[in-house]
Amino acid sequence: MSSVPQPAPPHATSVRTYSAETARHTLVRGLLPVLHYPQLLWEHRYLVQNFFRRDLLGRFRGSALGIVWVLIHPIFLFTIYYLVFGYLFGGGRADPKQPPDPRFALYLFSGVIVFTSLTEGLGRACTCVVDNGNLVKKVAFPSELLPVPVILIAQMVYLVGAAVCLVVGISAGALQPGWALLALPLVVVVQFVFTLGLGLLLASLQVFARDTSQLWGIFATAWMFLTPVFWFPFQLEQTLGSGLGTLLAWNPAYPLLQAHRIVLGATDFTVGDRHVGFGALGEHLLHAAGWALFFLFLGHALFHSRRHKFADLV
Amino acid sequence: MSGAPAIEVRNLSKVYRLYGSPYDRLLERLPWVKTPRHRQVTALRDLDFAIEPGQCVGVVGKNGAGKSTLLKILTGTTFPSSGTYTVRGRVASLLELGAGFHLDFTGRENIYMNAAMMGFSRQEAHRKLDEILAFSELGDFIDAPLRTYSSGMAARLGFSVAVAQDPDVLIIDEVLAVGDQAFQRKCVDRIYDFKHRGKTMFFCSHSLYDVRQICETCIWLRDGRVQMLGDAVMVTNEYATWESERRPRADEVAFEKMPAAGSFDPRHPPAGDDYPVITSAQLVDPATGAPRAAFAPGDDVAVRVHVRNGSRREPLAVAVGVMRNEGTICFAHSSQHDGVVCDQAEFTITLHLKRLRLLSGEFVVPVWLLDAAGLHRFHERPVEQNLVVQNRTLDLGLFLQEHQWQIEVSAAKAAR
Repeated sequence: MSSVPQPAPPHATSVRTYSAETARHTLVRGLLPVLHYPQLLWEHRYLVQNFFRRDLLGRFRGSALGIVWVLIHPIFLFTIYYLVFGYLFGGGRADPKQPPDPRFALYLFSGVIVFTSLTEGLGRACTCVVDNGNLVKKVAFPSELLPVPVILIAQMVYLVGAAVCLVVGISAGALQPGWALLALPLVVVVQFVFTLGLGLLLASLQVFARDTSQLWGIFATAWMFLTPVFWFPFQLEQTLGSGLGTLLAWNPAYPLLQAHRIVLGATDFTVGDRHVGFGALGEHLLHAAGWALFFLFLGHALFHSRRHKFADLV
Repeated sequence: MSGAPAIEVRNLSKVYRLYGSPYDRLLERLPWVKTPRHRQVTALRDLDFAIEPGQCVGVVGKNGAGKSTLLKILTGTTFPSSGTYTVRGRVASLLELGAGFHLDFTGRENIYMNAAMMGFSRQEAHRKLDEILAFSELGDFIDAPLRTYSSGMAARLGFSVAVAQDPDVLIIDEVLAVGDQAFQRKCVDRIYDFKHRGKTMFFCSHSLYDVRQICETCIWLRDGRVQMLGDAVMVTNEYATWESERRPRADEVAFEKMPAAGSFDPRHPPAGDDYPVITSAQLVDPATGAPRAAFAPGDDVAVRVHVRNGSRREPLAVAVGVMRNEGTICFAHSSQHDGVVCDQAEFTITLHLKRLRLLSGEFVVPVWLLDAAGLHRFHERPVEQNLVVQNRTLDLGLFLQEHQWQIEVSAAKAAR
């Protein structure tokens, strides 16, 4: 049958043709449609905004403090890290009798908020199609937008955490944010694309295999400990040697994490006699953006090529 | 209207693969797994049709015939396994009332959410809000969470949002029976208005009455195939006959069955003066005017119906049918088709049946009270006594066909 689009009659505002034969996408043929994604996002910004509101309000509806919880969590986290890792483990100090170095606590804290926003966003993105099964089945709308609001919420939570981090860091003199702070939106956008790509990938897998979200939970924890969130690279260097370089070079989260830390104003410091450096922002950003685009193409291609099955499976 | 059809379906099939476990789907992909691990269920087979713009198409068929699958495919939520379809124009569909509603949110928030999902921009959504609010008649409830709504209220909200889109193609699945009587009226009016503006409609219903009244064209789906496609009256009659042969239970057999989900049942209209009702309906002897139930073929029969109009005094029509016990309609006449409506507060309307053609049997005679367009049924009841026809001849069957016999002797053989 012809799948050639025919001229639209004058009354038609849109023509939707679907041919099961031509629509049978392979993964490779699904690579290019991602180019329409920004346009789709723009056209349906009102939908994304509504989903965002729904998810956000739905999460806090009925709780007395409401959205203030978004602020309470990072403050609480920071206090815990400062006390436990600073005092108990004596982290980052030669002399345990000295008060803990706030720079160490901020190092942990910035790492945790970045990584949490990543894994939290991905965890929710993973189940977003299945959770909205009723919509996917009954309403015709672009389901590839579903991960966007949950990722945006995770990023909003991150930004609140980042603000806490900055306020504490600047007042304690541990952070010296400079012009690099202006690159924060850029880093956030890169992280958005990064999370969106992986989120689309996980969401499509979850439709076919519901164990994906459980596996992802385990994987996310492992990933967090393989990334220098809680440790300094030099601490592993002694045991891993050159293996550490490979580990960090192939860890997509590493450049992203370091870029975030630099933007928030972390400066090189020394722990004992070891130097803790953060590298160059531009280089990290470039790496992170590379990973982000790779994930976006892969994730979107998978989602797009399998999408026609979703409504029958959720 | 010139130009391409609004809906075009070519060789469309939909096969569902049922797997015992989701992992069977993955296992099946493995190169060394040769035996299929799924069961195939064909929902639609090789559908082929085109609908011109401005047509209103009914879809009938028993449960599992593929009606909902077809509607879902045309809506764009699910996709065919093979074949092609084209839909021209903006589509709105109401597959399930309240699909996409969130119970924790208020009616207003849900309107915005739903509008966004239908592809509205913020400005469009705000522009439409008043219209939706007015149409749904929810009043102050619009700012209460949806979980406090009755099912009728939620249904009203859903319908209001769907029709507010003013689509070129409207797809409706079994949702006309929503809300109270007045709201049903509005829905039907809206659909009629829609039809008059030359929009295309796809309408799936178990109520053959609704299909006949609203649609010109009807598709009868049977086991995923188009059993029949054509004039709505013809197709629904064929379908009703087939249904009644399949399931010989009286009353509920395909015959003007009421939509079940509605809170309003024309057999039990609300009390009070607001609604028009049939106060009495009886068979009478047209000569004497006295009630009479037994007739013979060739007799004149009259059905006398007494009606009390509602406080709104709207024009009313009356329909009378004669049906056999097992559900076959022998005939049915609707006064508005003959140009007879009446808006008086109280009146008696009599249907004269000249020279009854029916043969022996007992017949149920249902009477309906309708609006002037025949779309809405206010009240439905049978006449007090069943019509009993006693045959004086030995003819068999349902009715007396005028007939005569003629013999022509074949000349060649006669010579022998």
